[in-house]
Amino acid sequence: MNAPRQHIPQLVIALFLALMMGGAIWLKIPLSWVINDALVRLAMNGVLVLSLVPMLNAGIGINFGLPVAVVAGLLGMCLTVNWKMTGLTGFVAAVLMAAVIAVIFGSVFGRILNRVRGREEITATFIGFSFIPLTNFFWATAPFTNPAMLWPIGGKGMRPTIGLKSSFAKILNDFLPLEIGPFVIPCGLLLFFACSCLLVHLFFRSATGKAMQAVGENEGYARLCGIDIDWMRQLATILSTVIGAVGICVYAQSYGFIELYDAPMMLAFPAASALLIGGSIAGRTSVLNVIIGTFLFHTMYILSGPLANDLLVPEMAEIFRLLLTNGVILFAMLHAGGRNGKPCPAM
Amino acid sequence: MLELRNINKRFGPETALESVSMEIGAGEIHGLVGLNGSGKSTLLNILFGSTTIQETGGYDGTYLLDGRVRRFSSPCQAIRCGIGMVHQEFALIPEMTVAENILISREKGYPFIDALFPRQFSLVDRTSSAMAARQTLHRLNLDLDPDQTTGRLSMNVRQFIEIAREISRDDLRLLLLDEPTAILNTADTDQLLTTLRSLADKGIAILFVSHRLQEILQLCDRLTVLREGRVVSCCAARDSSIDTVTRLMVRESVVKVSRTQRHTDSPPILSVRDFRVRMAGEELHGLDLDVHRNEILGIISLSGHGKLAFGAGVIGQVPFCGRLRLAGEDCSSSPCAAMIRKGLFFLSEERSQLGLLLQHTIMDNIVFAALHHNKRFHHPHWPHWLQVPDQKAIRRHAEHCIAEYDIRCTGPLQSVGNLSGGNQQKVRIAHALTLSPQLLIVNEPTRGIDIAAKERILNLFLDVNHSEGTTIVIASSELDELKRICDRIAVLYRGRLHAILDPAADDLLFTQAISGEPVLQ
Ligand SMILES: Nc1ncnc2c1ncn2[C@@H]1O[C@H](COP(=O)(O)OP(=O)(O)OP(=O)(O)O)[C@@H](O)[C@H]1O
Ligand SMILES: [Mg+2]
Repeated sequence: MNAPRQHIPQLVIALFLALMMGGAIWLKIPLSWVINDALVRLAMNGVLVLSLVPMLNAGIGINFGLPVAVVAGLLGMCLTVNWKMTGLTGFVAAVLMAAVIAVIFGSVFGRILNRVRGREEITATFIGFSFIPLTNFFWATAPFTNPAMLWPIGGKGMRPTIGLKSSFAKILNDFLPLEIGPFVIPCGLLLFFACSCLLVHLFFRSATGKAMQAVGENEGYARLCGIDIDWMRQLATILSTVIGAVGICVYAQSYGFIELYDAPMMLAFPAASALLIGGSIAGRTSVLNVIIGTFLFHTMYILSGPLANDLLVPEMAEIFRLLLTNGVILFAMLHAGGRNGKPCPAM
Repeated sequence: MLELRNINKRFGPETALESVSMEIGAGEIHGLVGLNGSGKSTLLNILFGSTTIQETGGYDGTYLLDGRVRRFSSPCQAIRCGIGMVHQEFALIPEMTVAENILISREKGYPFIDALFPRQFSLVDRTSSAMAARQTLHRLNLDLDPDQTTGRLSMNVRQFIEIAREISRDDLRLLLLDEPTAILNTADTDQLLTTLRSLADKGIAILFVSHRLQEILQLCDRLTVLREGRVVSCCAARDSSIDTVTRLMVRESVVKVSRTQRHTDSPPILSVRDFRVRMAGEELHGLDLDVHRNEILGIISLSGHGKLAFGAGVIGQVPFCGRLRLAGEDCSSSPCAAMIRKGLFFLSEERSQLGLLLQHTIMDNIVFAALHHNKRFHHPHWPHWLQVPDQKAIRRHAEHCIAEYDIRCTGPLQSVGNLSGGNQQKVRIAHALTLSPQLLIVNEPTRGIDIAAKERILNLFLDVNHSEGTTIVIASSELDELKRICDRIAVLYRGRLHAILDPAADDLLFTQAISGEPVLQ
């Protein structure tokens, strides 16, 4: 019975989005461009957002240590590029290798988080931050051999951006595209995203998933029911890391480049924002929150650029964009945290 | 002093209260009785202005306090009008000390600073606060260090702290008590009732909810009986008897269960030697006890003498020292999971904190442990290691439990947080019995359960004990219940085994044993 009240932020944001859409049509910004872009961005960012769900539901909090997962994904992709695997094989190999590396990273990461009960979010943030310089050192000295990845001069150390054109750029985006008039629906990409969502959804309906949620909701109860709390939390961290690593592969193939060095540093924040906008409640975040949140967040992001360009001075676009998205996040959080931040029993 | 006219309260489509009218005068103790889910807590929440009432759509009707219409939107306003409430699920802050909890928002300040600054800025005087707290505890005859944190204290101590918090208020005029005696034993209850009487004599009105009709009749001046949200009777306690009240509540008389068959000397399934558990306020200091296979063993003691610590120690919720043998194996340092795999299960006396997943559905709660520890609810078409739950079977089982335990709800998909206290307790018992452990240790199984459902649950215990051979250990403060269903009753005193008595022994012997006097066996 609380349902309508609880979804107010989502409704308001959706309304706001509709308003922006109206503005876009009025300014003759092509609708097809907006929709095509929105779908692509939904699917390419969606997996990264999805990666936050296991840890959130296990009560560890938002994974601000997403850079750890991203680095695992980057390593997987760099290895495939280095071995000159291309096309679909390249992508699949990248995803598989990223997942394996992520399992290793995730279990170490999870073990650390188990030692800092109650301060996981801030610890994860700093793990993420301190992991980046470490990897920077690695990128600068790594013994990769494919000259396409190395600095053109000197031939040592990785470039900050590596083009994927010759390996697996847009492999999912261009898989099974459905063209309806001016609209292009990236079926392959969406299908991949949908499958990931389905897997996560099914996982949380299995006994293990339910146990994980129980750990997030009431640790004492879960322990009395004979659930290994530490293992559940570690498993959640591993899952989050693996999904995050896969997420960055999807992101990179759609973007067309691998970005190394400091690029992964701040990736956790837009993902967290999207999830918050989606109306997630700690411990009970569903895949639906992920989809709604990612869609609202990124469509707003797409629209705010050209709107600001046309309505204000072009230089303002980026400022406007940041102002808008962060303001909306604050609004969503204020609403979710209202009434003493008490989680609503009825979803 | 207090008058209610035609109070209606709905939770969505469901009606929780329907045209409830009642009056309470100053200095009156008014009893409120009814089955689980009949709307007692809801009524008290309305009187106290709890936020849950607002969030679920408010209520209709007139609420008059001293002739003025009131409509509280938060407990703060109610407290300002001199209303105090002891909640069914406690409202203490676990990280704060006993003294802080008792005197919350009424801490004693330094007079000098209080003279200079408004109340909000006064500096708390710890020594005088602790003194005041100690005095209040003394009024309740409770010997407790006011400087320890509340979170680790046992349930009945916390119950007393909660009561102490309310009665230490000087401006108290109306006291709402929601099942304050549910886990107190006879001695503690008597103590509390005397305290309440003396409060009432000072002119404080008290609304008292309980499932123990005896104490209601003993304490109250008048009583109101609720059935399915309606007032079915309001009469003077002097003119009614347990039997008439029962009939008003249940519409039929309740048959009390009792057992005849007695086991004697099967081998022990669980034995503890020099068992020490450091559970604050309920320590065990070296218990030697054998639990025989197939028996129902009762454990009774005064509060603070260790009955609640036994189960918590055995399952590993609280660390213990000493030796513990379960089914012949030494398990002195096994985690909870290992103990459960060996066929042990423990239901703690904590309901909301350790007992339930409040945001999940009844269905999920009932099958939670079973889903993890046996294959009963795994989908037959999928490999077991995938642990795919068989939703149909789970639903069927949940519906079966709802009928069998008489859980008052809208269906298996209702979330447990919305159930009334007694119905939550039924869900927990269904949860434990669904796992079908070999040895079940239950603390206060009938806490907050109404007179009809209590018999049903005791009967279920007897049933599983008889048909599945489940060994059951019940730690309870209800001597009467233990005497009816147990094979043996262990009496603890100061954290040690004092005597093992036959349930047929007379009450006097039990009273002596519980208070630590030597008994001849
Ligand atoms: N937050 C809520 N949302 C929906 N329904 C609720 C909520 N709280 C209580 N109810 C329903 O209102 C009815 C009355 O509940 P209440 O807690 O007042 O019972 P009670 O008389 O205190 O029972 P008990 O003896 O078990 O404590 C129940 O049917 C319960 O399911
Ligand atoms: Mg109640």
